[in-house]
Amino acid sequence: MPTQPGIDARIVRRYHAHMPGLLYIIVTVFLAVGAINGQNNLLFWAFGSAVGGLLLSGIVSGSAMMGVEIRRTSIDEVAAGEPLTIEYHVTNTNRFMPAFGLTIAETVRPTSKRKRKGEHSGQWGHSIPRPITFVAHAPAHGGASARAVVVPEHCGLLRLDWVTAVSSFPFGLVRKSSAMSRPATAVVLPRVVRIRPELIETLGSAGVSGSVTTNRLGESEDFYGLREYREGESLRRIAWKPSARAGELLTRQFAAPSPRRLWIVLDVAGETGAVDDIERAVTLAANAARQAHDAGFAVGLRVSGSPVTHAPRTGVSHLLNLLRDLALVEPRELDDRSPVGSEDTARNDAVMIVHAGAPREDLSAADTVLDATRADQYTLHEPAESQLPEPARGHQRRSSAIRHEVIP
Amino acid sequence: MISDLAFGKRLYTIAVLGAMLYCVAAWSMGLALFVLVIAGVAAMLTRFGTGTPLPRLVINIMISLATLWTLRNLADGSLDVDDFSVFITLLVLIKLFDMRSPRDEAQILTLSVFLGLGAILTANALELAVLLVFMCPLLVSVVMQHQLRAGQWRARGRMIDEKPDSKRRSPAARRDMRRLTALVVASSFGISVVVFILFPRGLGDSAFGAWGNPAIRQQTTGFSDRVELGIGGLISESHTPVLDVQIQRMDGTVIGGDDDHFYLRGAVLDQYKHGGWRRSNTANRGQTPWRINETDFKIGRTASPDRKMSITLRNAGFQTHLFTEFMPLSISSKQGQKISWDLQDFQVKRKGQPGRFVYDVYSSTRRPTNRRSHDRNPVDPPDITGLHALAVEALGGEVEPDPALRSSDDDDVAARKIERWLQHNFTYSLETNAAPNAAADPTLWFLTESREGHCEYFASAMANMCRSIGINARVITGYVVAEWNPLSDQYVVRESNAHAWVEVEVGDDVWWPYDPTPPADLRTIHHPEPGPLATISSFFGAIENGWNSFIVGYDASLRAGILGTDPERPWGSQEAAIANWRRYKDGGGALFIRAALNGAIVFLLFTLIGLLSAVAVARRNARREASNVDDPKLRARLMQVHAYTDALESLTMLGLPKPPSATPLQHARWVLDRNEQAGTLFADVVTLFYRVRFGGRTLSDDERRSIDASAETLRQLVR
Repeated sequence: MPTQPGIDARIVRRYHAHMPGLLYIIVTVFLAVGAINGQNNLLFWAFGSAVGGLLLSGIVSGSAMMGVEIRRTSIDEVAAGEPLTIEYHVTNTNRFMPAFGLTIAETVRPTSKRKRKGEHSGQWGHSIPRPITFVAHAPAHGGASARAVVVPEHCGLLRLDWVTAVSSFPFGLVRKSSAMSRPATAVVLPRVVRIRPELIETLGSAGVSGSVTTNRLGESEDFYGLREYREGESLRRIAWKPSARAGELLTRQFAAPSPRRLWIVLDVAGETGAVDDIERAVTLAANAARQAHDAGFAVGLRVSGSPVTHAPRTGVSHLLNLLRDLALVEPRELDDRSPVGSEDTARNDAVMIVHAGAPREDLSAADTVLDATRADQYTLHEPAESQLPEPARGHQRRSSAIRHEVIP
Repeated sequence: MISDLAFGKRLYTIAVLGAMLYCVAAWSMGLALFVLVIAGVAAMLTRFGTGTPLPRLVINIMISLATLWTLRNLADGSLDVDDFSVFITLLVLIKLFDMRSPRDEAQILTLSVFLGLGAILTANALELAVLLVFMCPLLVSVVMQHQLRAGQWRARGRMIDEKPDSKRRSPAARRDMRRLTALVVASSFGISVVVFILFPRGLGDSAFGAWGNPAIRQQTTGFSDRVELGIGGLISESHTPVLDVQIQRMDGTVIGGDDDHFYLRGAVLDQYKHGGWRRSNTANRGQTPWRINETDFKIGRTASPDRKMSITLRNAGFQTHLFTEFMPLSISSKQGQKISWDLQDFQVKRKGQPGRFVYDVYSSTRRPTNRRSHDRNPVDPPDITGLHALAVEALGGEVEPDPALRSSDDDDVAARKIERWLQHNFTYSLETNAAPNAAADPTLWFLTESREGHCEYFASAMANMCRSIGINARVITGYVVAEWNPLSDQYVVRESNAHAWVEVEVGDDVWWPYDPTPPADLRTIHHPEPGPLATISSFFGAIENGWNSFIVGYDASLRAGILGTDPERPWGSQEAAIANWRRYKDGGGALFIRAALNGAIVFLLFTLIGLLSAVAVARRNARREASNVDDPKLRARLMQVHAYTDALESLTMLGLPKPPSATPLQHARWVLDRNEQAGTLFADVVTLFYRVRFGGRTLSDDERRSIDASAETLRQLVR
């Protein structure tokens, strides 16, 4: 979930000189010289107009920017390679002066640690283009909304820090900026790719279903409960003794069979290989989890060398938790000396190990092993659906992404 | 904010207006027509910049051609403001075909502004001011729109999946933009007025050479310092103003009226040769050296002036004649100039920075005595056979034609006789045929065959006839001052007022002017016909005179009058500071107090006007809002559409809250972008809400059911 640790009230306002303004000043000086030299009164007037334009440019832009406040209203949670939308709301607290021509951009504010992979520290030009958008008009005592759309190329933690509004309105002579501290984070989930279906299907024979009684209706042999008989149902389901006691026909209901259980083990602890291989391993693990979930598996996750462990479960929210934890994996933070294997793995659970070329886990214990250095062998080169799984009932959803409100 | 096409049209207008500014200043109608044609072609080909621009190669070739053309002119001489302005005009026209990005738009705007500056450097005509009045607000508006477009373009380049939405217009944004534009235009005008008034005049004049002081209009024609007869053609009837004259008696009383006319002498031509008059060699004349930077030049003989002429030359060349009334006694000017005059015939010339030149001429109109104390000065008789006989005929036997036998007192009478003879027996015509025989003397041809011609023929005939009977005479070219403007108390002299007359020596170095042109024709040509057109012309003439006097002619003395300071001591200089401090110490504190009060009054006036306007606008807006809340009928109607409020709540729960600044319709569009189903439902609600809120009617039962159903469905979406 994107976090909003607290809005810092710091606002830094600055004036910036730029070339058009300098040229304008030079021309204004030239006008003054020409007017004095020739005693040309219309040149004096032109000089006065130029001075007026310069003064008004600073006054209008300055007073407009004084009342501008920006906050992010939402940041999409998307997968790498998908458009990520950041929505802003601009509030103009000025009583009379509208604000025009605001360029809203995320400002570079380096974090204390430079992460190798996964965490986008705002150093634009590397893993995520700099979000930038434009607000044409924010009326006095009103507001406006805008959104910036960028495409992150890698998964990981997205840290946003400062938001800057820049305007050179009305004449482009003076540029005024107003930077506001608005720290927020969001997670870019692993890229969606299509793994060869047979890799998932072969796991079907490994994870045995029906070994656990579920609390859902289904067609297993486990008794679930009684209900009144409906016409047309099979007579074999009638529970005669309870029906006699109740005085009405009752039928038996049976529980749904337990889903097959699959453990996905990400083994990249101590990896010193290429960053891309590690990301590919994460991507493979994530998409394996997704496709296994779609195939009805209860998917669990264990990241070797870290305490991240999720027991196999079904459900979209559980899947999203897996994807987020996979996105936030940082090999450097993993303990390559921690013991391998897990006692949580049941005998009948299927196991898929995903590594990036230097596995620590016992590969013989796995039903399927994916080597990220040979990721092409596991993926289909057809466009994958660029959609995250449908949310379960009760979850709010907009468009194809899960949106997290970032409202203080 | 506005559509691309609307912006393109405005940008084209700015470009054409900038070019027209220069064309008007330079009075170049050919260039103006060229600009209009090319701009029209560009508009058609590129759809005001919204279509496909011309290929880069074509643009580069056009720019190369324009550059070569300018360099060619540079090779012929120096590069002046005209050449540079024409080059910029060509660049602007080329850029109209090459609009690809906001940077190109900025270049067009910048070049248009430079064209305006070039126009100001070329001329300061009133027409320029009228064009600037139209251009400046439009320029401000276009520049502000350009800033929005440039910012949007830059941001769009970094956004993905964003469709350009240049056609979306917000009424609130348009209203704010209009108000801001008006505020900026008014404020910058106010600041420019303050700078214009306060900036000291007279400092640094020509410190960097002679440039920057334009004429009020372009170089005048009409006046010539040579007379060439025998050439066919039409005398110019151009109404281009040349100079303005105010005539006063020495007690300050202004002289003027529709029935009066005066003569301003320019060139004195005393040599007749090959059918033309020119000035004889000045090496033998008593020409004074150029006198520099004196304010008062004593010219004529010692006498007290009885008339003062304040003359404004709208465009004096680098070296030009100064026009004076006969007999000039002294000339004064506040502009530093070099002046030289002839000690015998008092022809005055000026050398200095071209452009507008203002000077005063003090003259004596009293006719001196024509008594001679010595023999007549030798006369150069004309070598024209038959002229003497014509002169004798003109004298009519009343005056002795032989100078040896004629009393010198009768020279004046003889000249008068010849003048009247010409006035009564010959026809004035602006159009003249060329003399059929090139060998024949044109003056004689006029007198014997043609018997009609313009003023130069009349003057030449009289001067030659006088000389043929031993009276010294010379031809004077200059202007007739006859067009009186009662609104400005000045005379306006135009190109068509150029005239030629005669001065005759009637005593010991005493010359007197005579005009042989028929008086009726003189009046017809030089006095404007009364009527509504003359009245309108006077009105515009007065405006133009005010423009020339108070804007173009704003100088240190005018500034001192407004600010209450000493015109001799420019404000802000160290000398002025010391002098003012001394004056203050000596009890001149009132001077500073008055100046400070003047400044404070002006500032407060502007501030007050601005504040009153802001208060009026704010109160009007508050009244509008208050009237809506207090309207009981509207309140009752709004009770029907509580579903609108419910819909807003549902949208808020869906994470689509309506901001206060957005109208319901704007918000419906915004929601539609993000959630089609919710947006469609909310749009249905808003449509009916608008009918109640703004349409002033109640909903029918079906409509009420419809709006409730839409709101309910929205509520379901939330669950």
